[in-house]
Amino acid sequence: MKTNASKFLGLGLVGIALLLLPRLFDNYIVFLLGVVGIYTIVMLSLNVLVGTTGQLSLGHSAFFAIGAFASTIIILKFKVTFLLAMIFGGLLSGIVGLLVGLPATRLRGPYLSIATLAFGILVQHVLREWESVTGGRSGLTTPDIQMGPLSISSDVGRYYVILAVTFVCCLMIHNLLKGKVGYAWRALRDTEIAAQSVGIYVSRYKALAFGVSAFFTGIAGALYAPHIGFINYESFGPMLAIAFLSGVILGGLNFTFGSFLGAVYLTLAPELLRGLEQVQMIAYGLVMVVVILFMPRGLMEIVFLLQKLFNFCGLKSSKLASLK
Amino acid sequence: MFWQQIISGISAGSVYSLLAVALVLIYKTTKVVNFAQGEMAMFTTFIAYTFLSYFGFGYFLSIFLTLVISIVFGIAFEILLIRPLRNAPSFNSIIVTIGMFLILNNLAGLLWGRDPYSFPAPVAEEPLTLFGLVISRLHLSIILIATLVMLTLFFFLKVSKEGVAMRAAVQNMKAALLMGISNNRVSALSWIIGTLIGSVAGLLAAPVLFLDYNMMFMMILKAFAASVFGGLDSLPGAIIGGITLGVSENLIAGYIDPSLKDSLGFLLIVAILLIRPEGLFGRAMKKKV
Repeated sequence: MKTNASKFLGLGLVGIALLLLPRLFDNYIVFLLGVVGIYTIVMLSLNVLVGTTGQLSLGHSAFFAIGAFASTIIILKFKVTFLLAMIFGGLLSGIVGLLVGLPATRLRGPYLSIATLAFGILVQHVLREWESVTGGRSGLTTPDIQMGPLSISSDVGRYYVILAVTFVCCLMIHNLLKGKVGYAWRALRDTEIAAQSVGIYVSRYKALAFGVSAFFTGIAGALYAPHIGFINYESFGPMLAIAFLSGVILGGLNFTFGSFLGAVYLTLAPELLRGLEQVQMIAYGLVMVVVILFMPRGLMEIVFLLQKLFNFCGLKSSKLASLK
Repeated sequence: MFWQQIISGISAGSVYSLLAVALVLIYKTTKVVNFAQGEMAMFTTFIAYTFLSYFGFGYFLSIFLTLVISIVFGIAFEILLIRPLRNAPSFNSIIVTIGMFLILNNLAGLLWGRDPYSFPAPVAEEPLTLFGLVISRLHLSIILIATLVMLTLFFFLKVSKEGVAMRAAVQNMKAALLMGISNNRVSALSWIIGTLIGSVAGLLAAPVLFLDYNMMFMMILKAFAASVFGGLDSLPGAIIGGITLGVSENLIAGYIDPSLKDSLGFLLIVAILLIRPEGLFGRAMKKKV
C-alpha cells in the first residue's frame, strides 16, 4: 500500500512539473517539449509492435504521414474541429495499419522489414504525386488548432494539447498491454507455436498490433502537423522510419520510460547537430549498432545502473523500480 | 527503339541481379538480410575512385586494389558485427545492418562530399552498331561482366571444395559441422563473396549513374525487389528477378510514364509478398516446432 501511495505521489509531482514547465522556459524550449511529447507517442506505439510482438517495421513514417496529412486535409476541406480530425487521422492510419498487418502476419523477420520498407516508400510516392490532395512538392500549410470556439496558435497552447493527448495515449497503451491483448502479444512474441496451441489467434493478434501501433502513430502525426505548421512529403521518408526505430532501440525495448528517453533523443539529436545532418545520421546508425551489440536494454541499462547505485547507497528507490 | 530499351533494361537488370545475388548468398548462409549491401558497394566504389583520381593509379590496378580492400571489408564486417549475433534473433542483425547503412552512407557523404563524380567506364564511349541496332558499349560490357561474375560464382559453388562446403552448410548446418565444415569459415566466406560481388556491381553502375553517396539507395531497394522475386533464397530466382525488373522498368519508362519507373520495384515487392511470400522460386516457409 505504502509503495502504491508513494507511486501516486511521484506521478502527481511529475504531473504538476509537466503542467508548470511552460512557465519556466522560453517558447523554443516549450516547442521542443511538444515535439518530445509527440515522439513519445510514436515511441510507445512502435514499442507495441517491435518490443511487445517482436515485429520489425520500417514503414512507420507512412503511418505518421497518413495521420498528419489526413487530419490536415479534412480540416482544410471540411472545417472540422481539431480533435475530430485527429481521431480521423488516427483511425485512417489504423485501418491502413490493419490492412498492412493482415498479409504481414504471413511474413516473418526479414520479409516483413522489406515489405514495410517498400510500403513506406510507396506511401511517400503517393504523397508526392497526388498533388491535388496532398499539395505534392509544395506541401500543405496547416491551420491553427481549432477546438470549439478556442483557437490555439501559441507553442504553450499546443504544448498543453500535446500533453493531454500524450497522457491519454499512454494510459490507453498501458492498459492494453496490461490486459488480455498484451499477454497474447507477449506470448506470441516468445513462442508463436505455443501461443497458438493455447488458443491465441496468431494472425489476428499480429494484425491487431499493427493496427493499434499505426493508430497511435497516426494520432502523433496529426499532432505533429499543426505543431510544425507545414507538412511536405519530403519529411516522411524511410529515413524517418529508421530514425524512429533507432529511438526505440536506444530507449530500450518494452520500457515505458525508455520510450520517453528515445523521444528526448530523437528531439535533441537534430538540435545539437544542427547543420550537420550527416553526423546526425551517423550518430543514429552508431546508436543502432552499439546498442544491439553491447547494451541490449538501451539507455535503460544506465537507468538500472543508477538504480543499483542508489540501492548501494542505502536509498530506497521505489520510484525507479516503478519505471518498468 | 524497342530492342535498345530491352538491352539497356538487361544491363540495368544485371546490376540489380549482382546485388540481389550478393544479398541472397549472404541470406542463405547466415540468415542475415544485409541492408548495408548497397552502401558497402558504394563505399568501395568511392575507394576505387580515390585510387584513380587522387593517386592516379591505372584503371585495372585501382580495380584490383579495390577488390582486395573489399575482401578485408567483408571479413571485418562479418567478424565484428555478424558473428557476435549468430545465435540472436534475426531482428538484431537487421538493425545492425540498417545502422551500418546509415553510417556508411553518411560517412561517404562527409568524406567525399555530396557532388556526383563521373566515373570512368571500362570501355570506349562510342556506341557499337550490330545488326542495324545502335548499342552502347558500356551496356554491353556491363552485361558481359555480370554474366562472367555469375558464371564464376556458379562454378565456385558447384565444383570447388569451399563451394560444396557452403552448399552443405546451407542444407544442414549441424550435419555440416559434424563433417568438419567450420561455420565461421562458411559465414566469413559468404560475406567476402557478397562484398566482392557488391563491389563489382558498384563499379559497373558508377559510370552509368555517376558516383554519388546516394547512388546505391534506389539500387539496393530494387535488388531487394529482385531477390524477393526469387523468395530471398534462390540464386537463379534473384538473377531472373533482377533482369525482369530492369527490363520492365525500362519499358514502362519508355512507353508509359517515366515517373512510374522507380515505384515499380516497390509495387513488385508488396505484390509478391502479398500473393506468394516465399517468392516465385523459393520453397514454402515451414515452421519447425
